[in-house]
Amino acid sequence: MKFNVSSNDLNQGLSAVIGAVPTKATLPILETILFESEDGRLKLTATDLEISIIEYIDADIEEEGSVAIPAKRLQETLRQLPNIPVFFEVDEDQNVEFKTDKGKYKLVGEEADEFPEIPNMDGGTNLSTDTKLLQNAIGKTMFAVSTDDLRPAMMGVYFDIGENETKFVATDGHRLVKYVNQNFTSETPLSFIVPDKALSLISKALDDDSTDLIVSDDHAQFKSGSTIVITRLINEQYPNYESVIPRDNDKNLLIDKNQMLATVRRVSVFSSSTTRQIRLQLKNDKITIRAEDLDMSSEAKETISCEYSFDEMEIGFNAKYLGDVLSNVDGDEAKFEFSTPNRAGIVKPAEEEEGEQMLMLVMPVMLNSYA
Amino acid sequence: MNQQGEIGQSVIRTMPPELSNKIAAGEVIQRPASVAKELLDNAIDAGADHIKLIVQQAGRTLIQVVDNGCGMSEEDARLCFERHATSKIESIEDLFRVRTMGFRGEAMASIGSVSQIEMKTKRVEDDAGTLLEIWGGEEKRFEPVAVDDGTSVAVRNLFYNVPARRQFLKTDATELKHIINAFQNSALANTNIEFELHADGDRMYHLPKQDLKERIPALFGKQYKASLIPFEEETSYVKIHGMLADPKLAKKSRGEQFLFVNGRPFQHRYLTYVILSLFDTWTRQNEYPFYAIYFEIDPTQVDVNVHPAKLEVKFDDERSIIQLARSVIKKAINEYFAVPDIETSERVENDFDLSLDQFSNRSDSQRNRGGKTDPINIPSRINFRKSGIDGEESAERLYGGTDTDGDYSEEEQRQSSAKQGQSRDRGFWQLHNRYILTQTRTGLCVIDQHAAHKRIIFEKAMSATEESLPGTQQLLFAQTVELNATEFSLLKELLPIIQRMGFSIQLLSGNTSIINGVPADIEIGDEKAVLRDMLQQYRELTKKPSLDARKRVAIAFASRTAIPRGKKLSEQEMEMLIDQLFACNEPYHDPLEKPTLVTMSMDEMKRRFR
Repeated sequence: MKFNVSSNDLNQGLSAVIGAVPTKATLPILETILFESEDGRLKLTATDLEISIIEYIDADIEEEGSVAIPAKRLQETLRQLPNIPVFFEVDEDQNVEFKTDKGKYKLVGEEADEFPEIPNMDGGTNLSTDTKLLQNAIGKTMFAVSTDDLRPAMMGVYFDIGENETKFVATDGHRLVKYVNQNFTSETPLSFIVPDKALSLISKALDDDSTDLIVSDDHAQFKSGSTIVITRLINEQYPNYESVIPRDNDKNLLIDKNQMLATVRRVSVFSSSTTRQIRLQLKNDKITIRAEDLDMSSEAKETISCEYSFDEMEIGFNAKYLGDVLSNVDGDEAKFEFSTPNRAGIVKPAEEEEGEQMLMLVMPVMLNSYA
Repeated sequence: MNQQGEIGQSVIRTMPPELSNKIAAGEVIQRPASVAKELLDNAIDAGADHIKLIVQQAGRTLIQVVDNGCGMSEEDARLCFERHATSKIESIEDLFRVRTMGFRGEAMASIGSVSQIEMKTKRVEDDAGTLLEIWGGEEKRFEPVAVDDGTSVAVRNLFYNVPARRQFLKTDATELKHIINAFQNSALANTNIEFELHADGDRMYHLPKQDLKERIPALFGKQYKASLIPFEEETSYVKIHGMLADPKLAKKSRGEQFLFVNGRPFQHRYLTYVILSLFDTWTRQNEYPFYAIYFEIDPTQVDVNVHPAKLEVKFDDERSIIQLARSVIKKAINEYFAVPDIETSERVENDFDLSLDQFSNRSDSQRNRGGKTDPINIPSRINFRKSGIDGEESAERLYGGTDTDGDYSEEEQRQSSAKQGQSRDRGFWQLHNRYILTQTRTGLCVIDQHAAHKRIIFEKAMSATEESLPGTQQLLFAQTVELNATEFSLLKELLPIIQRMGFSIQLLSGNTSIINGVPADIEIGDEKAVLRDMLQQYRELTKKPSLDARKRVAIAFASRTAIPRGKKLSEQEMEMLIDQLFACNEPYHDPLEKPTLVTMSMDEMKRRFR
């Protein structure tokens, strides 16, 4: 195999796929990137067996062929090069030699046959959507994904694509986010769970305005421009999230989101480092946020104004959960909907774009009175 | 029975004094070492500051004690061999506050009845001394003699007139060992007295007046010099001080364990058991580390007159004495094995170092408060990012990605990179995803992540059951748990405790319960399995009667929720775990007393590479 490629193009291609190269590989072959010539272009593939990323780059192919090249070493060398042409030559024994006008470098590759097979997506359901929409949906939901191996279903974002709208849902059992977008639909409704590592790679890797999806039973492929990400899906039953979203939360509160977020973060510094517990006291257009850490004898209290005209109430939250949720509210104003101190609180943006609905839910912490 | 004919005659007679003395001797004087002990005690009571013990043939032929104490008058010299003759107490009240070693007035009479004694004594104020020889309780000589101030008692041919006794003496080596033990006891109890021990013409010990920390190596070997662990604790009731030796030097046999109360050596089975069990984790089976423990207590609170040879004592409030001794010694051992001084290259303003400082000062502050840790001073971390064991990543994703509060996240990032640099300096390394290795100022510390986390959770859970402090994180998806009948009734019984720990559980009919909430301060994972396993563990723990229900629940909870062995931890997680561990009251053991960490000093490391 012989080809000429610009170091810049190759670098970009490598950084697009390297996210799929596992840091600690169980199989040495996974630490390589597969180079293949395909239709006059160079096809780079990396995989960790769960997620595969394929990137096409322009190259001048002199002799067809394929080889798997150690990823780290190649990338580190190329990164240090200015934008110059690089000539690659691979012999039958997978010795890889590449030359620039600076000098030449030799390393040993692996046979392309050794490289794991990338799932075939033929026969899956085809869909197409706006890349921005997808990235936005991922960004809005991913924070709530569970990291708990014991709840595999919750370790990804649930895509529920329907005829009129698509729901993106994530939850870790303490908070939940549901983002609904009516601009993404499918004639044949389908739903699947995408693991969160794949989502961050997808979000990063997609580089064209539109994205084509192919969804099969076990895998989903996201293709945008010259990049393809294929991920294994989480084959689990997603919990019945609709049933836990309260419908009768009638105590509404409107508040400046940035102000509240800053307050929550400041006050929570004084909360116990293990519980992160803060308490919100709602009373006559005022909200008082307090935290205390008995171990450190520290406490903090701030009062900010808001719109609240219902019965006085006190509710506790894990500051991290509340902070996560608040920072995910679009716009300047957030709307809370409460019922009782032991039931879920709902957080929404006060204003929303046409065709989008965001709903977040935080489970409270039942408070014990201060000593 | 065949002497029925003599009924009517008096069969009960007062024993002649020789006989009763011999019988008393049977109790008090069991072997040459007993003689040595009695004579040493007398010398000490005589206020001597230089005492010489001379033995020949392990005391068979000679046991002699020469002191420079107050001596006796001619009259007293004779009187001291009378039974119940003593200079030490006068009235019954005195008996309950004796501070002298002897007081019963039995020793000299007893010894005199079973040996050939030659005593020379002279008071400072007298011109001439007195020589008195007594053989088998009979006075052989009594005459003035020229002698130095003080008393010299030479006991020859012990048990010469009690052949049965003599036969029962063990080998010379054994008897000598007992004598040496008696000598060591006296020498340890009286560091302000110069002691000498001569055996068969050789000087075995010569101990000038010296500190305990010098006397111990002088008595037991130089290897103790660098490995003594001193401790001290004072309450209004009792004062405890003493020295432990590094358990690494533990011997395969007993004999270097010393207890003293008000300067008197004593033996106490239970106390010894308690103390040795504190060393359990540091010694192998059947190894007995050295210790010398001194109790100072109001003499009215302790009865020393419960054993013929005064080997045992009885404390009025034995429980608190043992409790206190236990906690003092445990603390001393913990401090010795602790790694309170984990090394940092930079000691600067951020909270990381502050918490380290706190934890290295912790032992001091603890000492000041008599072992109780004030919750206010427990170092724990104030850091927004450290929100939970695995909240780290999502926090980074989130806070790194939003720009709503630019300043804050920049600050965050700066801190986080500084922190990462530092943990690297401090050095945490995980061995097979089980143990955390870290560098201490004096060597290496290996922490068992599971045991350490168990300790942390256990203490939290225990204080939760007392104060009911942590909130209950409500669950979005309530978990229905089907239990069997025994599990269910157990849950019913334990529910109040479990709820105080932060669980919110509802019992339904048909052995079903619903978990609505879990303790807010811990990532619990699979709630159903946790509850089931807790009940299971609890049942297993009922085999340990020393634990109350609360402890059992807390242990069961901790065992189930602690980081498992085999879980990969990030550096931050390791750092946080270690910080939390050292914030615990008893960081060195998990709730079931297994060690949470082991240390290896640089010296030991060096030795291994030799």
